[in-house]
Amino acid sequence: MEKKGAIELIDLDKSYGDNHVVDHINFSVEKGEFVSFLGPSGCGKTTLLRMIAGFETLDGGDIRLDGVSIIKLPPEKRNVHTVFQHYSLFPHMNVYDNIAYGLKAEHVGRSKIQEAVKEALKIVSLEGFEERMPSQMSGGQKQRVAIARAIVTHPSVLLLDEPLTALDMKLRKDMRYKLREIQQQLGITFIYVTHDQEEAMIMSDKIVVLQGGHIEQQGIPQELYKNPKTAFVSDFIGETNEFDGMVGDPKGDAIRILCESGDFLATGFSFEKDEFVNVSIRPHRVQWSEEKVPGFHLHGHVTDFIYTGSLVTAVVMLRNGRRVRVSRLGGRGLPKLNQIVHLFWNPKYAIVMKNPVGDVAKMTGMVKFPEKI
Amino acid sequence: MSTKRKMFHFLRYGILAPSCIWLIVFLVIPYFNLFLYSFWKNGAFKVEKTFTLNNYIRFFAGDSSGSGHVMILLQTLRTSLIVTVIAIIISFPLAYFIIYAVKKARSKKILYMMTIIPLWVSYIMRAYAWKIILGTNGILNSFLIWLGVTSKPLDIFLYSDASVIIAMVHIYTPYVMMPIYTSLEQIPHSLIEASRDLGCGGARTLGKIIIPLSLPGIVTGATYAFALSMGDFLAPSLLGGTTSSTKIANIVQMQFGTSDNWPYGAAMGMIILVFVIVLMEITGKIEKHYANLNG
Repeated sequence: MEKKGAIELIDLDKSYGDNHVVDHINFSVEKGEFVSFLGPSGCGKTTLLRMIAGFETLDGGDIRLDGVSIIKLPPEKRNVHTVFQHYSLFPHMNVYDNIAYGLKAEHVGRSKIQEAVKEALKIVSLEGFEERMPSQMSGGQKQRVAIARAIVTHPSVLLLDEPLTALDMKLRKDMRYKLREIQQQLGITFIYVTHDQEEAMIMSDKIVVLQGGHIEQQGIPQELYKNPKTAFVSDFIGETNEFDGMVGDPKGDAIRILCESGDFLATGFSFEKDEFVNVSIRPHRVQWSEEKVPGFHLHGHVTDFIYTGSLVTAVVMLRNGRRVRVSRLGGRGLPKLNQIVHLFWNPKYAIVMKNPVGDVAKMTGMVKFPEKI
Repeated sequence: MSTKRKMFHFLRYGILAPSCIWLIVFLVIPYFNLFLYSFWKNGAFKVEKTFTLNNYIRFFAGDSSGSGHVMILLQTLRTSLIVTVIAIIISFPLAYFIIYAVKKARSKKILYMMTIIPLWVSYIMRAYAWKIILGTNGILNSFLIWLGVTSKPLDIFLYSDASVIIAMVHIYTPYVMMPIYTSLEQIPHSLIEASRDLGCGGARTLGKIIIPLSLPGIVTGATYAFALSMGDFLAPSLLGGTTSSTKIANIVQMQFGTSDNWPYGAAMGMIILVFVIVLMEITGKIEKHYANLNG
């Protein structure tokens, strides 16, 4: 199927009074891409979506759909449809009339409408539901009708505003794959707003992490997971252990990081000695040993285990009370409860990031850490 | 039975008792009385307690003392329908304007209050106000003379069907406005956004989404306006002409007053009651139908 729906956001800006909800955002989406806007509530992701849909005015900037500016068009004239968070099906119409609504607005012939509605229901696997009223359906079914209603007119872009939030866990997980499948089948651009990183990781071609109205980082899911640029991104995408510390001497390819619980090796570029940084290490990358490991001085004891399905996580408490999580599939090779362990890892998996607070040592004139603890 | 249960029973029925007594004394007994009276005979100076259907026959077919009052009932029905329709035509756009065009919550509240303030003024005052406005030397005539439209006062405004309708519309519009406003307020804004998102402009959204979803409110308001204007005898007697704009309620009132024919008045009362109940039942069904869909 021919792909369509390239979107460009150029220097978008919006404030509500003192609240700068969208802060000069520049971003482009390729035709037929599945892009997720990921961020906590209040990060501006929904406002951004509503701007593209036309429900929100902008203070500055431009939105282009396939190269043409659409900011002057009212929502009904934009070839962009929205799947709303709470379905927003018309309660006084049955499924057929709900789905046919957009087609009737375009004055499509009756037989063509019938065909298109049938096709749309097939895509969302709800064949035979034409006569049902929205009040007679479950949340998952309603959501699929809402999707069918939005795709039936073949818009260039589909905007989805946390469409799975109202569903239960099991259904939500199934719908993720279903949505991805529908998007691939139709070849249109999906812009998906969510606060659920797992959802974004599974479905998206590209993820845009938003915070406080600006883009924190954007890229393909793996890249965000492997190379988060900021502590916010590493914390938001996947499970992670975070350290804040100070850059010590370089050691080979790695750099030594000093923190209150000891010191360890990590990888990072263009950080100066004594600079304050954040370091992120994924729980499944953390190794343990009963003996000391060169380059690492992090030891503590196992205080707890957390079971999350196939993944088992041991919580290791370092001295000074910092907790580090160590995860293994099926819990294989984890230390025992209360066992004293020395933690280490391959330095290339420990990502050093700028500390958002800035250089605390320089700011406060703090005493230097000792080189060796 | 334990004392606790006794207490519970006492509370349950005790709470209901005042309203039950009130209903029985002021509703059931009077209506039953009315029902009995409607089958009795009106004798000279007193009511004879013998069964007769003549009161009902007289209403529909007339008798030696004159024709029946079915035509007046139908005319009243017509006037009430006109009042209801005009009240809806005024109320809906007004409620729509306040909800969708006024942005500030405070302005919304003030405008809404202004529309229902007439309810705080006594009925007689409102009816007399129209007498002052529409009368021969009233405000409207003075204004027309000042404009030069006419050289001497016109007497067509007052004591006609039109003046009765104008006053009734004014008096009953707040009753229509309130339920419509409430039902419009309850329509989720996301439905209107969804409609626009799917390519429907303002007019189509109004016709396909907003009006159907506010129908329960419109029906409720229409029922109020209709039922109240059906039973209104003050506006017709204050503002209406001598014969042409006499309403059914005036005739009923007359039976208990000047004509002193209680059985016939009671029969008319029963007929109007059945008439209005049937009508309410129909509108209730429509409302329920839509309430089910929205649920």
